[in-house]
Amino acid sequence: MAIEIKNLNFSYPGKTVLRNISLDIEKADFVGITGSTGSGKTTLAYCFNGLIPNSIRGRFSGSVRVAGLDTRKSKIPELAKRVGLVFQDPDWQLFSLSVREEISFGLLNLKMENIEKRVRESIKMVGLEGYEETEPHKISQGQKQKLCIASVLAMEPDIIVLDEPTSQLDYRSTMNIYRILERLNKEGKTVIVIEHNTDLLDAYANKVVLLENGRIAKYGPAEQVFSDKKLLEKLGVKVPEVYKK
Amino acid sequence: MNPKIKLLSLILLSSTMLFFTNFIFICILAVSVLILIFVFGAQENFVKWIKPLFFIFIIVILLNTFTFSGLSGSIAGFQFGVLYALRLFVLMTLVFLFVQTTSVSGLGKAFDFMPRSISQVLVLTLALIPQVTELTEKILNAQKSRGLNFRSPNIFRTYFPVLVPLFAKTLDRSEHMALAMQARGFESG
Repeated sequence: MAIEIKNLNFSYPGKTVLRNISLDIEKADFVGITGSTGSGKTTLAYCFNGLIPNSIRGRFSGSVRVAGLDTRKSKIPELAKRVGLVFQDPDWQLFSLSVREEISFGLLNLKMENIEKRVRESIKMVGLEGYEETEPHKISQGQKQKLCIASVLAMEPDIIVLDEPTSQLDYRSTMNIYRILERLNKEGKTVIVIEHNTDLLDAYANKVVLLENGRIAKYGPAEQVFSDKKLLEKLGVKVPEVYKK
Repeated sequence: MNPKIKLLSLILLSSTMLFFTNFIFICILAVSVLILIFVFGAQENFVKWIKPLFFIFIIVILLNTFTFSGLSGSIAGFQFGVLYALRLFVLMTLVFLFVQTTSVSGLGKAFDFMPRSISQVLVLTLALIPQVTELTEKILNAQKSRGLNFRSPNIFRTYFPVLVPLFAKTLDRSEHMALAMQARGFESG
């Protein structure tokens, strides 16, 4: 099992965000998480790599086990080797002075070996060759997103979590990102994507979590979740085109 | 030139100015640095950069003129103020020259010799400068397009709509940046 969540509840001061979440994600699954704004998607992502409860304060109960490790008892760097989290806005996470340095940042933190080789390979994987010495601030938004993914891939985690990775991208860049994710998933990585675009989830994810106000409204195979048109409409989630007929 | 040597030269020259208060020496240093700026063809950028700082030089001169040794409006105070302003000018020009002639990644490499946590903070600060500048520009344009008058005499009313979103966005960004760094195994302690 890649991720096991049991009875997870989390509240920020004065606001309950996650309510009684129980979820099992198998290894090599491609899971999509969707739901309306404020339904707790990003907060749930922060639970996957231990930022909650280790760094973000709030009332936490239940348990989250990632690759067998209890996130309450594990340090974030230890979890970072197993779970790579790509944040929603690339500008929140890119700060180094060159693409190469940005990718090697996590590797240096985790004292990993073969840094040069890993950096080279992850740059090739996302197609950023030729940009090694460029400042991350000066590349396009799609390239920034690819860089964020590369900086996580270089750490070779078994689980990759992406928070709305294509929210600022055009169609071509979006498809590029999803093709990379599909390839990684076929190579055995567990991919978890938070996404509003249900058509994309329908095309790529094998399982979908539908969140409603911090609760799981439905979890299962993509076609099973998306065929429940009434529920999707009730939650303000777009019914994928193929299910509209 | 190696960025580390440049940084070392900057530190040495700046420290020299702290110990030497000779007016002629400071003048020679100022002229030398200005010549270097012309040599590197950075005069246009330099003028843009130094122009707003003249306000600070004038304050330094005025403060010294009217507060030097408790005498108000003394010539000695004025001379002391000019010397201080000149030293400040040379110091800022040196920093400008260093930044202008060093690539951003070179700036990062200049801090390599420091402990990683410290050099990381410096790199982070350097990387933040162009981003905050860009953000400021965006906010300014947004507020201008909503009719904000920057010529209004009420400075508080003029800059409040710019500073509030700028601070909020910068703080929000810093918070997420810290989380993103932790998610990649960075430990500050």
